[in-house]
Amino acid sequence: MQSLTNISLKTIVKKQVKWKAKLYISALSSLVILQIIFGILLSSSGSTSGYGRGNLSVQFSIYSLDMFLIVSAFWAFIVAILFTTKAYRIDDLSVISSRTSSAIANIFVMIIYSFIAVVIMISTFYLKVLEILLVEKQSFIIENLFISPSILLLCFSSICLFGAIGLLLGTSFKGPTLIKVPIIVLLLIFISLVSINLNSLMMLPDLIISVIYLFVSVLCFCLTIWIADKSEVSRK
Amino acid sequence: MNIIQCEDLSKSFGRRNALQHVTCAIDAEKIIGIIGRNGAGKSTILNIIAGYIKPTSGSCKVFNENPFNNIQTAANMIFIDDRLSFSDYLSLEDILKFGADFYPNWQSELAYRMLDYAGLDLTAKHQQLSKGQLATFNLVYGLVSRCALTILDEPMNGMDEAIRTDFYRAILKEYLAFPRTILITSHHLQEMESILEEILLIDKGSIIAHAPLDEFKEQLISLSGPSDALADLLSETEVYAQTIVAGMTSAIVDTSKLFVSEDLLRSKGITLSHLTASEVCKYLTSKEGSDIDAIFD
Amino acid sequence: MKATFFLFFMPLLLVAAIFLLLSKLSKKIKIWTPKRIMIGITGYLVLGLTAFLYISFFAESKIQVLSPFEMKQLEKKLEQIQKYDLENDSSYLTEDYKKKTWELKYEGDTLPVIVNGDDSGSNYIIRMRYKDNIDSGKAIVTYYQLPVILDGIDLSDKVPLPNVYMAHNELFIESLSEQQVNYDRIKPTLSILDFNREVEQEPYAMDYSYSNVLIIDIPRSTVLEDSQGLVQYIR
Repeated sequence: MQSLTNISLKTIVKKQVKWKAKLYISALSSLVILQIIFGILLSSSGSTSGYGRGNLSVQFSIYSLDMFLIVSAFWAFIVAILFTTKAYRIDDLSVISSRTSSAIANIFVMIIYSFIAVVIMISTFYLKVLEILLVEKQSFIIENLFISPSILLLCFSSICLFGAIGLLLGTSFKGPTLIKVPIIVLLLIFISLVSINLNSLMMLPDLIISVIYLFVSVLCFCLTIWIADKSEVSRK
Repeated sequence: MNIIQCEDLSKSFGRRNALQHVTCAIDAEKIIGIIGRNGAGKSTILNIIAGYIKPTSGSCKVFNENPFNNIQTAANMIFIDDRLSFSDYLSLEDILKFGADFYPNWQSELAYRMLDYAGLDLTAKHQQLSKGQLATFNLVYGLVSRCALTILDEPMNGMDEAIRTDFYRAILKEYLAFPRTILITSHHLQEMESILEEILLIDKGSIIAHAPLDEFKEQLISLSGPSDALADLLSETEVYAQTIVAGMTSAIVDTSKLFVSEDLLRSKGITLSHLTASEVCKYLTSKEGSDIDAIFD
Repeated sequence: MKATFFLFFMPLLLVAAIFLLLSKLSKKIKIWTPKRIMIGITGYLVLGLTAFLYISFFAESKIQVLSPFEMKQLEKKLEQIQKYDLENDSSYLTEDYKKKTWELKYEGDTLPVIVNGDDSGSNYIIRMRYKDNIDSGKAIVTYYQLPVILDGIDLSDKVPLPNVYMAHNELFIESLSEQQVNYDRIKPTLSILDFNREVEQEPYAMDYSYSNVLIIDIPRSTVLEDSQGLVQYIR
């Protein structure tokens, strides 16, 4: 009798990540297009704040990273859900894989893409600034050209968090029924909790917020793997 | 060690019972035909063996392990059906590289030769292939991966006759070069008979028969002769089907339940004829007394 | 609560809609292979980097944003200057802040002062001083501009000066109508966070409303007629 091949989960996950990072790249190209649409073409005025002092009235048009981060976060959420849809799942069955290995690979791809998303976000921001300098005629004020690392980390963790929630939601939809309902209920509770405490959350320093986001992301990832381990799949 | 061991396996989807108390064992490297009518439960049992779905009750062991979500089982198993899909970005050549990266026993050279023989353009995309070309490619993919357990779910669907014959030979030759357990389901049993070693017959979620091919064929026998001569013989034994035309009866009976010698039968004017495996399958799975002609009469 | 909920879902739906559009389009455009997409994205990032380099080397913003440290120093300085008001001593108003000087001639010994202010309120204080070295019939009006910091930017240059002139032997001081200034401000942070934090914590912006000072220097022989009661004496 033939001897059986023994392959570790780590090897398979590595191979899956390598191929998935390449094959899912249309997600990143759609992020670039989204950033260009929302960041550069649409928000041409930035947000404004005005002051009045005596007979001097000042209008500031502020161009900051907000819009880019929001677009990237929503992109991560949608892309994560897409990764768990049937078409992508059954593609995984064509090679050596299990639901667990595919889930872990998706998580790593999500993390890698979040990192690249931050870099794309920064590029779009600078392109936008360039556009303002060349196009707008009014005087500009550059507060600081360098983005601080704590802001970058915060952006990365926000995008990662939205991706993690998307993966968890998508995976639990395909999971066993007993798990589907509690997870969705849990997520709804979580979202309502966050929206209530949002103000107090924003008071904390950047680094703490990042750590909280990363912690919740890791939690979501673990839950995703646990649910994937119990999920069935069918080509039909 | 049994390669596949199912004990009292049951699977239900909601209220529909796809499999009921299935017990079987496959103990060596063979080419086994999994035969059954549409909706008999073939795909279900294959999906359980492949580790894609969990049984509702009972156990299934592949290579002595539970196959569900098991990476070790997945490393030694490949499931080929017409829904095998790959990313839009991969051409056939890229898919071969993809497979080669994962499967340790992958035969690249052989794959190229087979696809060249079949006349497939390697720069085409998987989604662009015609039904027959798709079946050919999928089968090649399954064979060159050289997995210890190869499951082919209706692999010849859509292939033209000439290429079907070629690929039956290809399966056999590959099997001889690298022995492995091959489970094939097909609706064309007569074509496949030449390469099968065993047959597993499933009907309505249960295993009707599981035997080597020759044994299987011997299960039923056809008797034909004068109706009056056959009448009392038939009353003593289980009849699967019978037709009466102008005083002559043809009946299909269970061989094991026939306790008369061939000479005695011949003296009564009754002739025995053997059935093909597909005929045996047909009679074993058809409803007692049902006949398509009856609907139109 | 409902508003934020709505605000949250609108962009999400928009992003999802554009995504669907993109996926439908991409089915037709099959020229993109993963390799080309990777090159495209890398090109985009290089473009962003080039933009950054261009901005950092070539873009010059004449306006400087004050750091909190600088602002604290300025605050101390201004406190010092404000002593002019507390101690009624004009020596605190140094040459640095002198913005404009008007020399006006008038007849006689009395100088009526009429201040026409805008409804928005004039943001300067008027003081009068007796100077010995001025000839009679002459008045020197000096306007001192104190720093006006709004959101970290010194806007003293943009404050419109009052209009000072003599008419019918009366000194008119008029403040001009509102002037609007627009700026584009590039801030590489998350303004949601900044906005919320600003409200709670110490404001980054120093919005001190130190009024500017207008000093009228007249010889001792002249009497200033201040019918509106806006002019005070200073040493």
